[in-house]
Amino acid sequence: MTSLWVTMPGGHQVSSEDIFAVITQLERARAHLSDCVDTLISPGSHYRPEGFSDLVTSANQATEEATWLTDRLIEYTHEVAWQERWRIDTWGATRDTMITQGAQWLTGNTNSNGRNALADVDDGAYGFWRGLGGDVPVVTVTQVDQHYGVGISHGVAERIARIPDGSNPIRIERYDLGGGQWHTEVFVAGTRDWDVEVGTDPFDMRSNVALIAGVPAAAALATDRAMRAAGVTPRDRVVFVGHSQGGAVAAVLAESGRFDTRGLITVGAPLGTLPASGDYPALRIEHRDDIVSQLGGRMLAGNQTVVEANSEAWPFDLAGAHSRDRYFHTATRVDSSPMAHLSQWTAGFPDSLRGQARLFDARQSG
Amino acid sequence: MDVTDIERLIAIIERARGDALHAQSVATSLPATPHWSGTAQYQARFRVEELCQAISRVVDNCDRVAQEARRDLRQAREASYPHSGFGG
Repeated sequence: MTSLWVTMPGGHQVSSEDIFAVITQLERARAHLSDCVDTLISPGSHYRPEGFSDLVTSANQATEEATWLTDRLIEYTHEVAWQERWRIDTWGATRDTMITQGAQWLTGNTNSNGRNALADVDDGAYGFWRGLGGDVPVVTVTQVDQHYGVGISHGVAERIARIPDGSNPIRIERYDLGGGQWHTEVFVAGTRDWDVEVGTDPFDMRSNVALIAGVPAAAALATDRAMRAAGVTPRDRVVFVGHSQGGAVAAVLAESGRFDTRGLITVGAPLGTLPASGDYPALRIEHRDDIVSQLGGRMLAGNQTVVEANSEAWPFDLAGAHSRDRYFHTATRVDSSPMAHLSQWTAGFPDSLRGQARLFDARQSG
Repeated sequence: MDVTDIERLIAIIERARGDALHAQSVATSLPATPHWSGTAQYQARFRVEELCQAISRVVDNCDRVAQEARRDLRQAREASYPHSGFGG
């Protein structure tokens, strides 16, 4: 099994989790060694043994070695990031043009939004969306289940496991923090209806197209409505979690500015044109062999931490590579990563809380 | 010599050594082959062996400092308690 491949927020550092773990440990060692030298030469110290200067030289050497190593490794992650950006721009542009032209061919719409439709996936999606009618849907949500005394999730994998299956695509958990403060976690499932024709299911292909095009999507409207039905207010601290289309919905709502977003976790979501720009931790997990995440277009730099891995599915098992179960397995690797940035990713979230969970279904009409 | 000063120094150097050893254990598990991401191959500018050797040098220097300090600590304690037999 290969290491997780990590792009740090801002996209300026890219490497395997192991390299980042070594950097962190060496940075700590360097700080302690520097402290050691300061302690040795401190005027207040009475420790001046025979061979004192050799001792200081050894401590200084260790500090310099650790500093040199750390700097070289950091330089390496910058270099890889630069190469990655070049690779994404080169290969991603070609792929995006193919996706856009495919969308034009399907709809017969050759002029999408007056912009350069041959380059950007969101332009292509906009043209496709217009070709499908371009209507803003009307959605209704129904609460279908409720559980009390639900313990808050620990780690990333447990949150992925709580993304509902398709039957009730929205799960909302609320935890009372006291003093009128609430912590909310919103879990959103992926596409249920793969038809592009108008239907009654908001979690359909039209929502996928709308999300990539950056126009109102029925699935996002439904999730927003479910949040209001669950009593979520703009004062709630919200963590959004989603798989596939649900990940795109989660990203749109996290970025909307209408909630106090405290975290975003997405798996297998088409998010290329939806970078995280807010001041909250965002974690994006993608399988290299999952084509769904590629359909969102070239990855734009943002505040998100991106984790890439092989799904370990059989070759050409596209459904397997995209499945939530495979992503759950990858998320367990994130939780147990030697890289503290990943293994402690949810450390800032509340712990040991009990609250209530509500499950919602949704419908749409033209 | 002040026993407290030496004890403090040993504690700090042990923490540094522990961090370096942790880095070494992760580094030794690195794949010897280059990293792959998507269609790109990244050849590390360092070889894994060289990285491990460099970290070993950090650990060795920590050991040297700690060893000296421990010897001095023993002597300092013996000087403080000459009749206790402490430190053999």
